[in-house]
Amino acid sequence: MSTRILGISAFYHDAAAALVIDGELVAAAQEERFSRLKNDEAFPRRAIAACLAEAGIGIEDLDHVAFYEKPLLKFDRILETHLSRAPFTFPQFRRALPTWLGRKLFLPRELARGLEGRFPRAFVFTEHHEAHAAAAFFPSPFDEAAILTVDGVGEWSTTTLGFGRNNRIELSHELRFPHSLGLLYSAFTQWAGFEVNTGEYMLMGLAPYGEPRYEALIRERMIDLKDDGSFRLDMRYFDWLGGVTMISPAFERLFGAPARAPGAPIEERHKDVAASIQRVTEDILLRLARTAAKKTGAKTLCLGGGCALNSVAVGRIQREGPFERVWVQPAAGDAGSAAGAALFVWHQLLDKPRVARAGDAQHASLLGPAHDAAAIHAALAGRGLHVHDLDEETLVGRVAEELSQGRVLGFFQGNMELGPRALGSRSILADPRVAGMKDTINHKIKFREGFRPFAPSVLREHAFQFFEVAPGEDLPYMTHVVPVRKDAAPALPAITHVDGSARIQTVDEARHGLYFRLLEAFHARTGCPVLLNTSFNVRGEPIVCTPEDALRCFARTDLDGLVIERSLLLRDEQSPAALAALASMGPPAPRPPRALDRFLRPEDANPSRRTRIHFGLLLLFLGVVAGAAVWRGTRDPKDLAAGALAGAALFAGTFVPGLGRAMYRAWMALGALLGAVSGPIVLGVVYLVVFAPIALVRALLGRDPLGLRFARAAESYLKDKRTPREPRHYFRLY
Amino acid sequence: MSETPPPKQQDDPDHVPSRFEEAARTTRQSTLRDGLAYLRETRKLWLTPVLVILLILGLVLSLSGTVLSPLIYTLF
Repeated sequence: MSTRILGISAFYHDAAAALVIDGELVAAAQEERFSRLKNDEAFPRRAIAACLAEAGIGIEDLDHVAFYEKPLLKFDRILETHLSRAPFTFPQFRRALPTWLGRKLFLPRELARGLEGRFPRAFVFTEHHEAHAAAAFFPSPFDEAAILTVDGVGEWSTTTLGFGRNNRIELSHELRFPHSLGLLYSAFTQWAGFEVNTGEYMLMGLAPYGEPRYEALIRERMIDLKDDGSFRLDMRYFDWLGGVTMISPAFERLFGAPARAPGAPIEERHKDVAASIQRVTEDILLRLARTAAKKTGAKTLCLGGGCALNSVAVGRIQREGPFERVWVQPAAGDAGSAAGAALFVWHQLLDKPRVARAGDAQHASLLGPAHDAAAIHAALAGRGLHVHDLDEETLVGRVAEELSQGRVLGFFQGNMELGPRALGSRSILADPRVAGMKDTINHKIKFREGFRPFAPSVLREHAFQFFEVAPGEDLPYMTHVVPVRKDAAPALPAITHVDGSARIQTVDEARHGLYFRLLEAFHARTGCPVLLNTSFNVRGEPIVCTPEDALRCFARTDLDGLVIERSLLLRDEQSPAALAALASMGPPAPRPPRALDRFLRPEDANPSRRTRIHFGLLLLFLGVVAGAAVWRGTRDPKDLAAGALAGAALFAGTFVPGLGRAMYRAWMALGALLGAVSGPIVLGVVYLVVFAPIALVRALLGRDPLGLRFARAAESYLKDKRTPREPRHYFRLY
Repeated sequence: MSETPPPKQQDDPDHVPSRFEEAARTTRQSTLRDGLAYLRETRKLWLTPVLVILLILGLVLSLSGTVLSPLIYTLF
């Protein structure tokens, strides 16, 4: 009998689910693709359903469910922060504490609810960075490797170093909150006017346009960086210890300008600061990689955590670092941790053997749902669309021809990718030889900033002719930025970034099938084995998931054509009415809320029958109590009866269609209104009476529990860490 | 005569359940119990009163999402 393990990441950002059956990663997907909310953090109900459907099993068939964090350790960090920094952390206290006390602290209950009470066993809780490390090492092609995970923050760790061998990982060192490379990069992202958690790529893309004029300033004022890559930050410049933003006014003063407003022009200063922090980031990651090599003696490296998506730094580690090979989990952010948590259970906790494969245990990261011919037909039928249904050979020839004529096509094939990169299954494709193609796609199709570069897909056996890679080198995940060969760069203007680099995806037949054959057909026609490949979405939207998403995106942009499996649609052949109907597909635009709805939670808008009965009984009770209160004064039984009658009338009123709902909504709106006034006052009193005095006493005693002070004389800020050996430890919430 | 079933292989998950498998079936998880155990192990029992206050606050906040919310907030 198979062992089925579900991994879940949720409740922070980028919620995802992954299913591992007998050690094989069979399905994984991000919730955002289904909910259509970018970086959706909600319990990944739909992603779980998609994973289970892929395997044809139900929740009851699961043997283990693993969550990617230990909630009590994370809460400990939050409490310690407030108990050290009060009274300066109230904005964060007020915002975060209700969510923690109501939901995040009671994760077993929340997970059981999310799984509809159909999973009766105990949940497994890995540490945040253990899940990152497992996602980085277990699917890698290495028997043993150094492991480096770097991100914003999990529980306490922000960076971990360790070693993986066969079926075990061991994290041995850590850097702890608030000193975080991920948060540091996000702070600069915010200052440059991009959105935290999604705009980091933009900052990285902006960096080559600037000069690192501020690098020395950052090193001198903001950070105490040791030779081994460990560091502490001067928290005067940042706000994440207690505020609701990333940077403090001191940060803005240091760089001589406030944070750029979204949409405001990007100035030279922004480009230079981007270049500067990118240089510092690369330096830190290179030092950490060298430290990992020194401590483990390994010749290969596995990288995980959100900072591993800094593909420019990864490229430098590969070229300048001490490792022969570097493998990066393609979904290195929290989404990939769902897979990491599940694999951790299989290998580390159940002690099942692992054989590193020359093949690809990540399965080209094509782990999301696919859509069969019937679903595609249903999506296309009855919409008045002109569709070419072609066999595979004709399709790749026709698509290659269209691309070679400068057309831009949406390309929807097979299983959806896990992770932030489109790898040929939910992609927009174009000819990389066309000058101006970058601007066309940025402005007319993706509706995004003009400076942002596009990545190339290249046939693996030809990659070394165009890029600075070894012949046959396997880089299938767009995780490494490499230099474009000087002689090839002029021929590939659309994918060569301003600094002569490109974030490469090598394409091979075993992994990519039809996409490989398309590249071959394009190569045969044009002599160019490279295609521009960018994600199939528009700015601010998740990558498309279903054929309907693809059709909607096609209609709302200037894409010249759309390929869905074996069907080809060309814009010129479609009627304007059909395109307009496609563009308007999807949920209707939300109506402006009524006055009452502004105070109500969404779930209070339509109460269930049970809730209304509870409400009616409460009104009946209040009526009786009111009558009894009057009766106590007057001693007239009629008053008691009147109160009871009024309560009964109100109780009955809750069952009158329309009236009952309106009464309930008005009652809950009153509660919400009172809560909006009283809630912060109650929180503020608790904060001032409990947290502020403790923080004050600690400060007076000279305690530094968060390790905020620089230790200039110290050699390292790394702390020892240990990975528990007892598997049952992972049923604990800490 | 009834047949004796062949002995199960060690790598068969249905074989004698490992302690981990056993624990997955029998462990009853509790935030409160684990919270107290964590405070004990990390020598932070002095935080217990803070946690009690926060739990009361949590109870109030969780009731604020129910039909009792106008009454709860009126108490303050």
